[in-house]
Amino acid sequence: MKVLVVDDSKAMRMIVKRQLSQIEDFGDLDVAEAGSGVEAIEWIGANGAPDLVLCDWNMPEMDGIDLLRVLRGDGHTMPFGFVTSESQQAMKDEAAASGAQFFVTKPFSADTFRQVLQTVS
Amino acid sequence: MAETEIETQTDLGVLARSIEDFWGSMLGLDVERCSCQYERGHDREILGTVSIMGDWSASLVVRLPESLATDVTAAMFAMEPGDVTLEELGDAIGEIANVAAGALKGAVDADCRLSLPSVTEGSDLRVGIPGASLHHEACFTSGSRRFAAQVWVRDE
Repeated sequence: MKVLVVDDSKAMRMIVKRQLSQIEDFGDLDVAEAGSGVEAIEWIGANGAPDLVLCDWNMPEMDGIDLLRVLRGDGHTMPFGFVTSESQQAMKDEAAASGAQFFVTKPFSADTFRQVLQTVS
Repeated sequence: MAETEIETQTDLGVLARSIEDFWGSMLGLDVERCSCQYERGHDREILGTVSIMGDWSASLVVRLPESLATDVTAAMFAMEPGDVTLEELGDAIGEIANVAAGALKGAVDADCRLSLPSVTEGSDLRVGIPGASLHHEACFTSGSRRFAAQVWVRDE
């Protein structure tokens, strides 16, 4: 499974990758990173759609919700979820209305992502 | 929403739990909330700040001695403390402030958004947020070192 982690914080990208590496039930996860929404779009253009996108919400230049809308507008249907410090229901509703499948609130554990992978696979 | 209603919803316990969870489940480090006071006057400190803006306006400031900030950053990046750069330090501490502010914002039933984090490093730092007052300070210990999370709320 190819996973694209999108977050402007390199520290958070590393934590997410580390948590994903602790999940044993899904074989080898191929985890790529993008430091912004623009980078994510460029990565997808060059490499094709991943099997899963894990994306922060608040980022400079392009918010995660804007990235999601761009991808859905371009016809991409891959599972997309937010990994964010935001937790308000209005934002979860906005994410779902825009085409996100899940919403993970920081802090999180490896078990959180195991449940996400079970849901999307 | 009346100011008093917002104030009573501010849940310092939610803030403390988010920091404890971040330290424990995401970094694998020991942390404990304490009734101690954060000691100022460290040689060097790192401060991470995130603002909450909207129907409720506040700032969340996390302040740590540089040595603890360096060790936490090293844990995040899985590297040796001696190899931590200033950029990585800012990234890590900004993210801690981001997570804590998100938890605080989630505890307040108001329409508001988070700013991007800002990080300050230096000696003999004084925090002052014009138009806001320090309402809460939660202190923690990680090993033998203390750090604090402060909530500054806009004055009415």
